[in-house]
Amino acid sequence: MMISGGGGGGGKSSWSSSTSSWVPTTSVSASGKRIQREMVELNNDPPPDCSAGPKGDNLYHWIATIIGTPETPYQGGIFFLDIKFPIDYPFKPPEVVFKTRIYHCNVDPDGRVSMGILKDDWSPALTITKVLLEVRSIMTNPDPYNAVVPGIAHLYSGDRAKHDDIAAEWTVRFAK
Amino acid sequence: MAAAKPQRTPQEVEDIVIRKIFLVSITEIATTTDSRIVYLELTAAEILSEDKELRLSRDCMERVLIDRLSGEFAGAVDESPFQYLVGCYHRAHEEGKKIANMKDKTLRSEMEAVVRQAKKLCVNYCRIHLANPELFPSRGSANSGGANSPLLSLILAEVGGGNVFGGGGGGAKSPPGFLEEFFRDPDFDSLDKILKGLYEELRGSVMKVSALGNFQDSLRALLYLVRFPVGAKSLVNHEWWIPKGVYMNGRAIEMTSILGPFFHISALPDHAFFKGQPDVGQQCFSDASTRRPADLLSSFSTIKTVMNNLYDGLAEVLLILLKSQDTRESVLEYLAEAININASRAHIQVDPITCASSGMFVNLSAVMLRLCEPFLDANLTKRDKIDAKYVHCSNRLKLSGLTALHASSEEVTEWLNSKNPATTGATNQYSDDQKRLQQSQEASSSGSNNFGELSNENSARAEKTKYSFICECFFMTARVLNLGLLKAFSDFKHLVQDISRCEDALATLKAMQERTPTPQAELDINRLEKEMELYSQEKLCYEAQILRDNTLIQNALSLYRLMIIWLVGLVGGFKMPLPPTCPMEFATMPEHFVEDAMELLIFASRIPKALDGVVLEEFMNFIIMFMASPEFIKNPYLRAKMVEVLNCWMPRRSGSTATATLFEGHQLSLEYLVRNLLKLYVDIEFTGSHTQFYDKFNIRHNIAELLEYLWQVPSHRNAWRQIAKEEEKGVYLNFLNFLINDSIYLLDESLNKILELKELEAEMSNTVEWERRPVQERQERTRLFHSQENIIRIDMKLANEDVSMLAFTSEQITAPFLLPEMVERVASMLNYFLLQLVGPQRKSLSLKDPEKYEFRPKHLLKQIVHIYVHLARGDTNSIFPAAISKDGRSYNDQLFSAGADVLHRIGEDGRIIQEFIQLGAKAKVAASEAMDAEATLGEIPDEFLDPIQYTLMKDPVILPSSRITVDRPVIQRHLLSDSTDPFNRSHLTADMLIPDDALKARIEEFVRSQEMKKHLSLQSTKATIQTTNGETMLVD
Repeated sequence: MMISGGGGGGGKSSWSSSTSSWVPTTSVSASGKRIQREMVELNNDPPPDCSAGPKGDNLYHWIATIIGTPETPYQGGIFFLDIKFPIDYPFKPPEVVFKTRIYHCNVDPDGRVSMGILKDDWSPALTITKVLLEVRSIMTNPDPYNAVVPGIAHLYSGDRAKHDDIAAEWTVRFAK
Repeated sequence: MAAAKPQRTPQEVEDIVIRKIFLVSITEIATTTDSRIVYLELTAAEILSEDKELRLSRDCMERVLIDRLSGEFAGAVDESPFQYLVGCYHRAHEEGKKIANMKDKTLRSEMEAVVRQAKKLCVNYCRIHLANPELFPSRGSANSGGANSPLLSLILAEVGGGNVFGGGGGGAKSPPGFLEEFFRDPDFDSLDKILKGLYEELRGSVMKVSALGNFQDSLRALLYLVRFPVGAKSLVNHEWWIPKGVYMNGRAIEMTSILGPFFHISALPDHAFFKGQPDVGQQCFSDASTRRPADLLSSFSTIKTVMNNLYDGLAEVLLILLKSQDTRESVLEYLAEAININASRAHIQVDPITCASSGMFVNLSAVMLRLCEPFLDANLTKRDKIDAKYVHCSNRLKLSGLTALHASSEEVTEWLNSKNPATTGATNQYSDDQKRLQQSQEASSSGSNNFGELSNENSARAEKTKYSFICECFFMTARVLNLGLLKAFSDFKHLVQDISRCEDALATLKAMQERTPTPQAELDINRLEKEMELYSQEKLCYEAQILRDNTLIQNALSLYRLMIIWLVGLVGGFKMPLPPTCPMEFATMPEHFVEDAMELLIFASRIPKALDGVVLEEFMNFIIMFMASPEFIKNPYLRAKMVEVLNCWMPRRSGSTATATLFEGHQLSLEYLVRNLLKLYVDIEFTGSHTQFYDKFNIRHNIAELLEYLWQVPSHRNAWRQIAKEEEKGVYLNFLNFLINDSIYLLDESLNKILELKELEAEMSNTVEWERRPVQERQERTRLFHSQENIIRIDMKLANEDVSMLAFTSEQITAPFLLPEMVERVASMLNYFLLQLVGPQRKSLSLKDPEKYEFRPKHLLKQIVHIYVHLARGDTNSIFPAAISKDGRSYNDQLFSAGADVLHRIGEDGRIIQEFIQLGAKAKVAASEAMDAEATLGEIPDEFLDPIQYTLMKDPVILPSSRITVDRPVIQRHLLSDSTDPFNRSHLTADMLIPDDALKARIEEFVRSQEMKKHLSLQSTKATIQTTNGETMLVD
């Protein structure tokens, strides 16, 4: 089968770096050891209102859930996030994407979270636990000065009540 | 008897001459004489009352003239006093010619004196009249236009061309010698008012005139007047030479100053309110696609010709003024004022109401370059006259507020103070003001003009120096080019981008219109088409005036060559290495001097023939010296722009073998080019804002293109290998680290986006579902689809480039790839991409038109495999197979055999495949050994695990500030990209790591202990087997 050949039933397959017939025959990679350790620690001491773990059998692709904090417009919402680990993890930050739509000035229309520690401020000493805590933190306290959606930031700064109403409405529509 | 007719006496002849010149009589007029002759009754009466003969003479000539001018005579010709006087001068000239034929020398001499006096009298009274028009009665209809119009008409006739003004005498030429005599009066005051009036009229005549308008006559007239000393003096003393007032701004000086409207004449686009007529774009370039190419070329040629006439004329005007001590200062002040008041033209967004037009400053650029010609000789023999202190100490030009090459404004001030300690007292006072000013600047984010002004005052106290014209002209021209020619190039570039965006939008709208016609789309299409037409006209105007004027461009390049050579002189000349410390003379020079030079080189390199005959060696050497020298040129974007220049000059890009010499024939190039490119590749590591992130890849793309070319040049390849050996743990390792970082990011991003794109494609191809969605959502998804396409194409192109570089360099340079801190990530990168290309998911990456996205999976696979094989060949310590198998994420037993299968199918070289298979076999063995080793170790105490990767440490080191112990290869890998302690973000470098020998010993003991336990365990197993039988018997 040619790699770039057309036709031939190229059905969409779920994204995965391996399938059962290609199970690794060695131990996990260095980044894999690190990720396994994180998983154990996360299960032992989960951050409040958060959970996370591998999606299926792919250690390098996690699903996380965050329950919206009380006294915020996201209260009671259940938000699903995709977490993907790059090849260079932990020397490069993970990619964190909201799969549940959320009205937030630091989350872009595609759900990508824009936070300092996921970009320049990333450090190999940081963990998924800390990332989830930080995401939860910006849900409580958005950062309009580093907004990725200026319109939402503008509303947050100019008419907080309306901003919260819209955010709450989105929470009801998409997260409950 | 017939008597002979008596000879006329001299007095009689004089009388006749005077009467003919002035068309007057002091006797009753007979009906048969010339009807223009006027009977001067009063004058006649006066002469009779003095008991003299009724005859005209030199003595009464002035009285005659006054009488004639003052009187209202019924029979006089309907002409203004000025016209009458000019007529008199003309008739005097004619009489002079007759007199020249007289045989009687004495008589001739006397009559010549009469004529000279008559002429002089006419000229004097012309001046008097023009200065005081109300003094003599005038027929209204004969004096249309301003008071000076009649004189201006003569001047225009004198300098050629038609008479553009109405009025009597239509096109009559000036009598020979009249104008020369008129303007050569030693008495400045009598002419000043007249001249100023003339200048105002000339200025008005070219107001709002474009390149296609009739400015030539006015320009020639201006030049004619300025050649007279009184003319020059009067011009610079005009109150509008440099207009004053609270309203004064760049545009005002352009429209109001005497020379401003001349400089405004242009083919370039301008604000509608100020635009010159006829509209060049409309007249020459409307509906350009329907015009014949010959017509377009003719328009280009015409515009270039007329504009060069303007440049030449204005340059000559200024040269004349500059040559005279009386007027030189005024010219310099005018130029400086125009420059200073238009400083904001350097901003991206220029306010057309408060700033002069691009046309003015392009014209000024061309004119200034002409003024520079005397010191732009091939050997630049006069460059020592250029004094760098001018930038800081000039009272005229405000340069000290500009961004410097490598010094903040505080550093500049401090340095200047240290050079003038005698003025410390005054300086301290100003320093306090500066601090307050800086604070307010920082608070308000305002521009630096105010600071510059204050700094100028400060410097002015320190030093009042007279600078040579060459020095002043050089710096003024550099500044004018920045605000003029270079700004116009920048505007042109943005215009081209706007056109491109319009074309894309138009294509999209038309496509949508074909599928789903709507009235709104029709309106949008029409609006865009009109917009496109205007943009197209503007673009062709730029092309006509600037891009097709190679002389203008090459003159500018000559200036920048002088600039570059002069700047290098400030650091000790063309040689490497550079001084250990950047001299402040260099560091304090305005950054735009270099930036403009690079920008012009880039632009000129893209214009056919623009570089023909231009000497580029010094530019090349300058670039090599500074592109990787942040200690001399701080701005990384400026150093990246130097690479862009080199990209334009690469032989296969420029199509010229001449530029190949620059790369392959110069010592500085052979020794330093590769080294400095690698160094710059490392310097360009900013990942801040969104745009900076993409800037990084663009810049590295440019560097990569050059490096690819240089690798093919044997001498540069050798230099490259030498650097890799010398800098294995320095620049080269950093370069390799970032190259791998980029490769991973770009390739991973591309492959992921391909998957996303295919999902979108599937959505859109399901017609029923797709049509069911709201229009807005469909538009949004379509926009996203195109956006993803672009990202994939760009990222894939860059990824291909980086992988290619890894492939060709690894063939001959392998050691850096195999360093402990590098080998595992190289291996995991290669494994990951091999898996994508040959693993189960490869079908997910199939595309209908992969070439459209620069995705060539076969080629990519071959390159990945080549890298594996190259590194295996260089792996003398057999560490590579272990690194391959240690990657548990992508590596597995089938990976290499699957790869080999694909390689066979796509036709890779058999030897490569064989080596690849062998490497796979070694990796499998290494994997098996690793599993055994891991089983042997069993549970590892946390204190022996690296806290970043949770692997067993082999070479533990303590981080000095956080006091945390990590494995050396792990922290060194981190430090390749980030010089901080990951646990507290404090500064950290490799030489700061503290070996933890005690822990290392304990780890080694632990390993030995575990191995020993395993050994004993094996023996114990045998013993157990033997004992089992015995135990069984006992139980029984």
